[in-house]
Amino acid sequence: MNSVEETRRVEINMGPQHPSTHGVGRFILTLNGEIIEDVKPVCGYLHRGLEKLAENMTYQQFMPIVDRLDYVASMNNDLAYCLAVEKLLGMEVPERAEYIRVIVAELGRIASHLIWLGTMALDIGALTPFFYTFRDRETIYDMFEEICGARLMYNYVRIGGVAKDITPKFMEMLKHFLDTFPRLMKETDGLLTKNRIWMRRTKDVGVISYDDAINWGLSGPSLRGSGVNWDLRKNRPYGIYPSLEFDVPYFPEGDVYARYLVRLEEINQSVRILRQCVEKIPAGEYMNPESPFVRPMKKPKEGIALKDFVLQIRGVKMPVGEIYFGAENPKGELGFYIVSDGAGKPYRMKIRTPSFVHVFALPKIVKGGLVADIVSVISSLDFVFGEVDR
Amino acid sequence: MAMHVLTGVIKFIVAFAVLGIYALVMLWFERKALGFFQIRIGPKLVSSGLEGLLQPVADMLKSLWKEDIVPHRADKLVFWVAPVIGGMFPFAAALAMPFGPPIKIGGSYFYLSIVHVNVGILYILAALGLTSYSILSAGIAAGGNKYSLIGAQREVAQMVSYEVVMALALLNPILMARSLDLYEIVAAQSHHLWFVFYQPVAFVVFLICMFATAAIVPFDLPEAEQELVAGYNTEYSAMKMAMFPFGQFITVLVMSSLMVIFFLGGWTGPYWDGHPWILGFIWYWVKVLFFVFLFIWSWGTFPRYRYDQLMNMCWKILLPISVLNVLWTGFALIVHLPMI
Repeated sequence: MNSVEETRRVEINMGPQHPSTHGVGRFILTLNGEIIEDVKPVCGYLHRGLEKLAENMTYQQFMPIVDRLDYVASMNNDLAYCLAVEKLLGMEVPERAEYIRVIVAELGRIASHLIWLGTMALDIGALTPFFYTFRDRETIYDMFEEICGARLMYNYVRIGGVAKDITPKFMEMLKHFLDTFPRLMKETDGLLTKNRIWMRRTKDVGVISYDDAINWGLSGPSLRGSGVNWDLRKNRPYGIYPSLEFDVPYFPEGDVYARYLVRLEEINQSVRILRQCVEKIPAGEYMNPESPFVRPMKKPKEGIALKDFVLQIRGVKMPVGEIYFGAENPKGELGFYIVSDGAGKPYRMKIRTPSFVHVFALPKIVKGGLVADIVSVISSLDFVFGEVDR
Repeated sequence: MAMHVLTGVIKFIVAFAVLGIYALVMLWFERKALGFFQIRIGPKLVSSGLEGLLQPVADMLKSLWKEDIVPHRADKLVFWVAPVIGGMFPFAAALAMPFGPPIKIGGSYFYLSIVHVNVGILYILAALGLTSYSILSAGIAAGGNKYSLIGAQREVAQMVSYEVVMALALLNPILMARSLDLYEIVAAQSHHLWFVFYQPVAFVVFLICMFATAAIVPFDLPEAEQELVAGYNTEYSAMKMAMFPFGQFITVLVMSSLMVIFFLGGWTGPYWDGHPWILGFIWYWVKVLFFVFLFIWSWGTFPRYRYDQLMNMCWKILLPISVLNVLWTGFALIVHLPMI
């Protein structure tokens, strides 16, 4: 304790219980007045050991757990995981299933971005957009409920296709949604985008340069907010994305406002993708009948054969190999690195989550800013702690 | 003399009841209006026949029965005093606030404010300025809670920024009316146009300061929930916590009435030349309640400024404008320019 300088610093524990850390985030802030001198993100409050759990589960058993990664975009997690396992298997997916997957993934993206938009507005002090976005998110969740019965943890996209075919009622709801949603979105847009206070709170705040964004491994909208034109749906195409028309928005400013605009535009692009899918969706199978994970329905009298029992316990035999697959999730690149030794369970699974990377880029971004800035930067990076602490 | 004391006491009791009921109704109205903006219903279950009008009463009872937690490390005395003065000073400011046009009885006027002082505006500004002490002491006394401390720090930064500008904005109507008496200022406007037409700049400046004084969005910095949990009242609970919004509501009312008196002609209005008293009364309250609604409207619409942005705005933009405006007003008055 040598000088006055030492006593002027204030250390604040922001979280794990704090209104704007988006879950159980904890940030240890060192403040000089209100100026942030240092931020230490602490993670682990939601650690469930998912990667270790994966080693003791068959590939299919792990499906519901994937939902728990980014719990506001479960459909996208399912899709990324299934695509990774299918890549390992080298399995084809029927075209109708591909379309259904894109529909649910883009709906999931809109839902996730709506939560982000509402909470970001809330964090910057505007209460009302939160209710508008949650109203629209609610319609999306109603649609998901219609196709798979669940509202948050879907487990709908399966290895080789999807769990059920979509219903005519779902298509009606989807069309209605696509007609009304862009108009409803204008309400929120009108409240915020050109709002002077909003712009002053977000412009030139939390700037990430082009090089930094790449070097720190940011991905998704946060990367595109720094002017990097990189979208896995375009650059490492998967599914039927190459056959769909959509733009990848990116803004060079790198501040909170740029990231805000990117996500807002992504919502519009997702609507565009959905419109094309509604037009083009073909009839056909919704699940690959060749998939080893699908077993034919049995008549009740046949009982359970030993073969089925063994299959249940040991899982389907997989090819030996190592694969990595990254999918463009609402938050960024969600990647699964799977090492298979030929057994029915993965030898090792590493999950690369975007939120984890974004949390640890935070200290460099907010240093020198004010307490009010850290809140807007946190919400602009849009991380979910289910993903940070697998 | 005894008569004066008696009317004073009666006025005080009536005003206390009116302000208390006003605060409760406002609490209900605020929640209903915010509910309307935010596509939800608002309070409804308590007294569902009255659209949840009795909800604030239930809230108040709940506050009374809740456990009153005083942090172990808090400065007990200051911790107690802070919410009391937080409710008391806005109320003290409301004492000088007119509740309607004066009633003419015989040859003399009966003033509808508890105390009619001829420097009413100075008194009100002083009382409102002291309200900041409640937030300041609440933040400091809260036993080392850093969120409270930052909230208090922001309140001070905010107060020094807007107080000067607000006083300068009010100086223009005062110069034009040549009086500090609220009733005189209204009387001055009954002969001319309302001061808002002579002083549009001062009107806008005061409008901004109004929100800053009441610490309502976009300037609710001391209690910025998303940044500071609850700011200065993080550690407060039960009735002590309820005193702060009570004070805030009274401040809103006082600021709205100042706005109406200084710029919008008080109880003057179309079809009113002093004698149907009730019409003046209605005009006055329509205008005041419009501004009260404006506070809630802003609450449901705007994001929050950052406190350095508020300070920048006040010191670098509003202060020079206000000073020039005052100089111009003074000049115009000296050379008898028609002010428009």
